[in-house]
Amino acid sequence: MFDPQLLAHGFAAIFSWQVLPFLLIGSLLGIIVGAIPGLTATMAIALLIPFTFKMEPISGIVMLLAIYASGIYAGGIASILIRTPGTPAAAATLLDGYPMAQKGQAGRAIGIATISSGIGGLFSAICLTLFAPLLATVALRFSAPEYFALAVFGLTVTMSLAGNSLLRGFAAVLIGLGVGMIGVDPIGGFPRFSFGLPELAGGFNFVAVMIGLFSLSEAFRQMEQMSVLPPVPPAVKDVLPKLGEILGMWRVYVRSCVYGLIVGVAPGVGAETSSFLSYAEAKRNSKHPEEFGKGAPEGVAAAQSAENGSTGGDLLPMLTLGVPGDAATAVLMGALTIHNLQPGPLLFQDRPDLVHQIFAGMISANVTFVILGLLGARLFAKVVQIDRRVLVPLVCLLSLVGAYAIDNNPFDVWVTLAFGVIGWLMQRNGFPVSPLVLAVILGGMMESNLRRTLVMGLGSPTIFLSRPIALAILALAVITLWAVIRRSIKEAKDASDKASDTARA
Amino acid sequence: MAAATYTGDRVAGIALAAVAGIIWWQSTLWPTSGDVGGNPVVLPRILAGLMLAVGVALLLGRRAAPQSEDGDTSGHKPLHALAAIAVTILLAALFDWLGLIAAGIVYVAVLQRIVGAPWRIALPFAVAMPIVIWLVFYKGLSVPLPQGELWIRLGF
Repeated sequence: MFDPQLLAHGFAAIFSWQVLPFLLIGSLLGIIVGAIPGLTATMAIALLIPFTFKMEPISGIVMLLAIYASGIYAGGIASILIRTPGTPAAAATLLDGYPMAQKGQAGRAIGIATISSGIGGLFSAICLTLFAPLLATVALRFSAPEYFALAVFGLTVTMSLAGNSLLRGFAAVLIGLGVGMIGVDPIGGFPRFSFGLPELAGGFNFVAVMIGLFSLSEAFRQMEQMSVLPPVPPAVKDVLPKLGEILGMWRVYVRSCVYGLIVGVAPGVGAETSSFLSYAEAKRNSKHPEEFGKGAPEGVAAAQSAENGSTGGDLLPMLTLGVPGDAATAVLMGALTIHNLQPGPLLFQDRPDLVHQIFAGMISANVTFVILGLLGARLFAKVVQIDRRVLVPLVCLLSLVGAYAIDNNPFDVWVTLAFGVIGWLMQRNGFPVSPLVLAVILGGMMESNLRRTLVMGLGSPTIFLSRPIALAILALAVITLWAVIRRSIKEAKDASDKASDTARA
Repeated sequence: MAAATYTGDRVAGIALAAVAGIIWWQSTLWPTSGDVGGNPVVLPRILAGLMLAVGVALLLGRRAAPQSEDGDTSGHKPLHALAAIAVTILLAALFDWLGLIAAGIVYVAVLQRIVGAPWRIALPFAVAMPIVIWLVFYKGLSVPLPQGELWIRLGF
């Protein structure tokens, strides 16, 4: 259960000299990375995981959480200033943020974005603190059949990340499942797909795979597209918004925070979906919907608060069930694992102190980026102009150095390089990368728990009939799969109709 | 007129079918006697079957080529990415031997030049960054990084 005393101890640990500098460094790095178009929080977290090995676990985890929270927020800075979202989640912010900047209100827009992200992030971090221990208590009753069902559910929802082509998304999932099978059979203990290579006997190092797919592949993609330098951003002044203006938008905040949290908890969707959903709702409920898209501060507030409102929700299933909801939390899960902390209900039972430190870290990270964001707005506005021709090669070097640092093993450098090339090829051919990563995690979880379930049932799958929760989750997975397929067929039909209309015209 | 099969889908379809074949072949080499934990070859073979099906669907299906984020691919330079990959392969091969600092300086400088950074910007960054990474991570945080066998043999 949630323990206020442990939370107080958690805050004391966060504000100790061993952890506080890493909170500040993480927040600063997150804002810088988030503000630069093309660099994402997920990429920064994947890059920095290996460098947290030698840190105290809580220092490393708090730094990565701070990068996550502030990276999501800072995507809005580039949206407002140069009409290019710093992160995919910040696309909704530019709808009103950029028109505000065009009217000479860039500082005001950044100020509203910063405060709104802080409100959303703080709300979701508090909800995470209150609800995660409750969910973990329920999850303690889960066994192999329920975890198998959760993995199947997660995999079906992962297909929703497929974007325009369900088939390409499904292919990415299958590749991920195949990658996850390399190593040792979970029950028999014999090597699979290792081809006699001792380095493959334990499977690929997951962190090396993530660095390749999220950092190196993105760097290769940026190099391909680096033809023009970013435009010069407008001047940023009068950043601190008026209190009355913020309080006047309380309805927008309530709605956006709730939307953000709910969307965040749902696996497979995150900040990108919540910001657009919340923006649309804010416009629908506004007294002046005609002002949206022309520089309405409510539009910026709705998008930014929902974006960060989803961060706590994203972390909830990962921390309590060990099921990552999106790419960023999958990477964070990898970070916890390398510190020998297995996310799931047992973490809450065995290390409640650390779990409450994580909650305190998440709450503190959301306050820290607001302070840094408001104080350093003018400086961060210049960051969007950083020459990517200098920065992207550095990302390449850090990717390879990070891969080497995981285990002091040159083989991991080759793994990162191979997955960097695979990720680049996938992205440029319309195959999404996130489902692959989620399938690596969920595939292993699915297989090992199915085999354990069969052991529990003495070889008979009918054991599922005596597990109502597992059955309910499996039913939900079937419904989700049906909905995803239906949506895909409808979109394909719409596209085909549109193409025929165009041809006829 | 129906759209033609996108080349990327065709290549992916063939690759998936090939991987499916490898999975199936490998599974024939495993112990197949199923105990209460189930036959270990079943799930990999289901995966191989699905891969084959999706591979064939990609090979024969007619989907449009993916659109660029900005809808414009005219400025894209795939040769830059290919050159970067080639240089990265060289770095991976020489990383342990040359060490972070020497290999890093050359690597960053070459990549910066590939994407068109002028020497006056590229050189200082290429020299400074590997040294900063070395100082922060190797010296400051005790993260193991390659020192370079060459330099160790030469007595540095």
